[in-house]
Formats: sequence, structure tokens, C-alpha cells
Amino acid sequence: MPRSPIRALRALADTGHASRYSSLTSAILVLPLLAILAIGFIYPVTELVGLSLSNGGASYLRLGRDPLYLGVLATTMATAASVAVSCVLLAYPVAYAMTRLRGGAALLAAACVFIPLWTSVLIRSYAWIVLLQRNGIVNELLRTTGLIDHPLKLLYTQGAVILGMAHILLPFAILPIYATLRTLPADLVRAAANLGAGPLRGFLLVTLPLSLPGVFAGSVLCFVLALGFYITPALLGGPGSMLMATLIGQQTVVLLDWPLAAALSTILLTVTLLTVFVFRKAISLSKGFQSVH
Amino acid sequence: MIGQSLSLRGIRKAYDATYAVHETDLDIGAGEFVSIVGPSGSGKTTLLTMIAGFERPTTGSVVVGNVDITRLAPNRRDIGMVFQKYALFPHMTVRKNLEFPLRMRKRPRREDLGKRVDAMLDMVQLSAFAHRYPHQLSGGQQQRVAVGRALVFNPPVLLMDEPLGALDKKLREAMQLEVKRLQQQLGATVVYVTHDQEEALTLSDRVAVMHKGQLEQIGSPLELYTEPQSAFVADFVGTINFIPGVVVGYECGAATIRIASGAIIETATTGTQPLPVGTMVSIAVRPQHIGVCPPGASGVTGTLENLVFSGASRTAHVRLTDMEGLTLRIQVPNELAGLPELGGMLAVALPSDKLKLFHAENGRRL
Repeated sequence: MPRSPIRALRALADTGHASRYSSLTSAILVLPLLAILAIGFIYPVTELVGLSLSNGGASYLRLGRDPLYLGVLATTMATAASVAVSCVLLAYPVAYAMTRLRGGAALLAAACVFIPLWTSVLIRSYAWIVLLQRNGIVNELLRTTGLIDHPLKLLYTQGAVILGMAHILLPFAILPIYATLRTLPADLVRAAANLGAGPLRGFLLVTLPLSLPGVFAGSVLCFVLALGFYITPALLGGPGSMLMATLIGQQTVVLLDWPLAAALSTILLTVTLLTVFVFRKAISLSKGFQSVH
Repeated sequence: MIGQSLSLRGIRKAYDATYAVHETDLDIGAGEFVSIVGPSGSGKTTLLTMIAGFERPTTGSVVVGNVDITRLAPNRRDIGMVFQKYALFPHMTVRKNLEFPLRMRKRPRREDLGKRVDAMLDMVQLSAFAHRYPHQLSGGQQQRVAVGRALVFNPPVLLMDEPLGALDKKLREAMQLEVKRLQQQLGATVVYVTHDQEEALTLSDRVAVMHKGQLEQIGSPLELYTEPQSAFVADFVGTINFIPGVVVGYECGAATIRIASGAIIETATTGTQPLPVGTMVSIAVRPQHIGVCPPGASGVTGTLENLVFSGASRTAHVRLTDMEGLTLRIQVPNELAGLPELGGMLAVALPSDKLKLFHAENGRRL
């Protein structure tokens, strides 16, 4: 059934709470955003996909034949997954502690989470170079304490990339987990205790499962953002740990193979969308969460 | 074991310099239904959280049966609790919610666990809803799950924190009967916190009235109504009128009070201490104990301001003469004839044996 654009817009705008706006008002309110999306996202992506197919799909064939490219894709996915897992594991205790803090301590914790978020990624990546380089702070510290004799190779490794990215993306995991934990009624934890669950069992059986939506949201956010990281891997990674973004940049700027770069971008975009879709499905399938969120 | 006694001995709770609960003693017998009532901020919920173990009392002890549980963690207390908003686990079915306390205790065995849960589901009439999630149930059904979950492990004491507050009036009345039925059937000891005095009077064997962190009085609903020990309790339970006055004469068991209009009222007193002349007091009288007569030469008089029909009787609002606008609510039988028109004068009869005297400042019964 063909639908008029206005009706489609209305359906988009109708979230129940907004129903007091007329369809015309809703359309006017949504229009600027749609215009920006059309110019800044839909048009370039269409162009990009077109470009990747401009030589009759030869670029995709080349990608499929050459294990180098698939290898980079695999490394990118693995790196992003490691980053997402590290972020969630590090973020959960922080988010949990933040829900327990009051007054000045809560403010301080929030500042510690937010201030890095407002600092340039470039600066934070360079900071890691200072820390990890051959004569950097970490190596110096290990040497003076006598734990090692020769400086370790910390910089330009896969580990350095994961460390740097996890550090930069940590707030994106903390915030959704914190938001979920904070809306969790305190009475549920009390009820668990009242019914005989000790602190650990209460956490594992009640708090943790009910905070999973936040954990999912945080990990997807970190994973998706990590897939497209450019500066940090370029600065902290070695030649062996090239990621998709770096590869695409190389193809575009150095080798000028735009169809191949477009094909790589399209694959990255598809993988990203697929991940988001699968995670959303996973969340909606986990029973009982509807009542919480 | 379900249905044991509960004692609070010299229990106090202080936050920094202020007391949420002043020193309180409370003894609740096995199988008794006791309500704690009071306005919000009176300390009734703090009292409950101290029994449940979510807060430690500053001093004093909590004893269940013969066991002092003051220092036990909440999960080791074995006390059932129905929370204000039920606090059902949203990610578990009704059955899983009911199984939760049994699984935490590793008793009974697996096969008995199913039977116990089935029996409780049957008792709260939710057998057909065992596989639903809490959000798929109505408010009343959720409430029944909460009660079932709190009772399934046979707790010695069951605490209920305004459990019916979220329900509409009709459902609330039905659930009151349900709660009472379950309590009697199981012989459970129940401590029921509510700000609804009517609910407390309906359900309880005894009612404890809290005010400003203090236990004002505990007694059967009838005792609280007929023999309130403070002005606050008199006002909180049922309807009552207060008339301020000053003591002008005292002899054992009786006091003479002058009110602002100059009228003299004779009252009975209960205290053993003599009442000094000049003590500021408050005379309390229930609407059904005041008589109305045609205006005479002396006594207390007033103007009929309003007459409200309320079914079995009528309520007359009488503004007293020269009493700074003080209005009495007087219950008038429907068949009583000869009332003046609105705005007309009448005399008010205050029978001395029905009057209760309270200290104007501290509210104590005199």
C-alpha cells in the first residue's frame, strides 16, 4: 500500500506522548532533521555504494580474493570486540559505585567520567605514547622498581591499541550502565535481601540481570565506535595491527583506489548495521525486560 | 515457624543529631495483627526498616521469639516483607518470584518446593497466572504475588509497608479482607504500616499510633477511640472537636474550665496529679456526644452554619459565639426536629462525662 510522505512522517513522529501535536506540526518539526540526514548521510552513502560498484563489482572480487583485506576486517572486528568487552568489564564497577555515591563524591565521580569525554581524542592518544614509549613513564617505573632489566615494547602493539581505545570509549560504556542501574528500584535489592539472598546472590540474581539492557547498550556503542576508530590505532598501533579505518584512509589518500575504498567502507557499514540489529534482537528476546525498560 | 512474637526493646534511631524514632518499646504477640499508623515522617517506616534489618537501630534490640536479631543481616532474619510498590522481580515469572525465597534457603527439597509454591499460588488465587511476568498482571494480582512471596517461606513475622496504597478504593477494600483472611488462616504475626487510620482500625487487633518519632499510644481500635491518651491520637482516630480553655477550679476527678466566651464547662479528669488553676487545656468531644437545644440564658451558644446530610445522621456545623470562629461538628439524628434555620442561634450541651481533657501544650491526657 503506497503511503503519502506526510502519513509516513506522522507514523514516524507518533510516539504516543507527542500525539498532541498535529500531523503538520510534527512534519515541520521533523523536516530539518530529515533534510540534514538526506544531505549529510543518505546522499553520501548512496554515492559510496554506487562508487564501490562502479567497476562492475571488481573491487569486491579483489577484496574477496586477497586475504590481506579480509584479515584487516577480522583484526578490526576482534579489536572492537576486545575493546567492547574491556570497556564493559571496567565500566560496570564504576557505574555501580556511582549509583552508591552521594553529594560531593558523586559529583567528583561524574567529573572523572565526563572530563575525559570533553578532551580531544588526539591528546589522549598522545598521552598514551608518552606513557608507553621505550623510555616512557611505564617502562621507567618498571625499571626503577627492578621488575625488568630492559624496556618492554609496549607502544605500537595490538595491546596498546586496545588499551588506548578502551580508555577513550570507557564513558560510553559507563553512562548507559549507570543509567540502567540508577533507575533500578532500590526496593528490588532490599526485597532480594529480605527473601534470603546475600549481597553476592542478590547482585547476581537481581541487579545484574536487570542491568543487562545497559550492558548491551554500552557494549554495542563501544563496539560500533571502535569499528571506525582512526587516530588512536594509527598512533598507537604497529604495522601488523592495521584496522579498517586506516586501510580505507590509505586507499583513499595514498593509493587513490576510490572504488576499493568505497567497497571497504560499504562492508564496514554493513557489519556495523548487522551488529546493531543482532544486539537489538537479542535484547528484545530476553524475557521480562519489557517491564523494566 | 510462622507466627512468632516480636519485641522492640528500647529501640531508637538517630540520624546525626535528630531522632527519626525516639526510644520505643513494642511487644507484639504471636499471631497478632498490629498496625502502625501515623502521618508521613512520623517514623513508622523507619521502625519497619529496623525490624527488617535494612537499618541498624542506634540503641535497643529487636527480638523475634526468643532470638535477638538486632545484629543479623537482613537476609538472615527470615522476616517476610511486602513492599509498598511490591518489589516483584520483573525478570522472573510469578512462580520464579515465589520460588526465590525457598531457593535461597535450600529448603524444602526440590520436589517439595514445587508443592509449596503450588499451595501458595492456590492460596493467593494465582494458579492460572504462574507463568506470567509481573508486568502482565493487574495491580491487585501483583499485590497478591507480593503477599504470597512474603509468606511462602513461613516467616515468623510478616511486615507490610503500605501494601494497599497503590490500589484504588474498591480493590483496596477487597484486598483488606483478603489480607485478613490469609493472616487468620496461617496464624501469621503481622506488622502493618499505613497512614490510613480507617484501614488500620478495620484490620488490626491492636493499633500503634506514631507521631514525631514517638509511639503515642498502642491499643485496640476501640480503646484508641474511646480512651485516647493524647490529643493527637484523639484527632487521628475518628472525628473529634477541640475547645481551648483555662482551668479555673479543680477537685479530685473533676475540673472547671472557662472558655474564651466566658462560659464555664465542667469536665471529668483522669490524672492523679492536681490541676493547677490557670493551666491551658483543650477539651475534646466527639460529634455524637454533643447535644443541641434551644438557646437559653447561659451556657455555650452558637450559630448554625451548615447542615450536611450523611446517611444515618446529619452533621451540623455550629460556629460558637465569641470563640474566634471556632466551629463544632455535631452529629444530629435525622429525626430530630426543631432545629433553627441556617444562621439561627442554638445552645450546645457538653455532657461532662463525655468530655476529655488534654494539656494544651504537650497534648497529654489530663
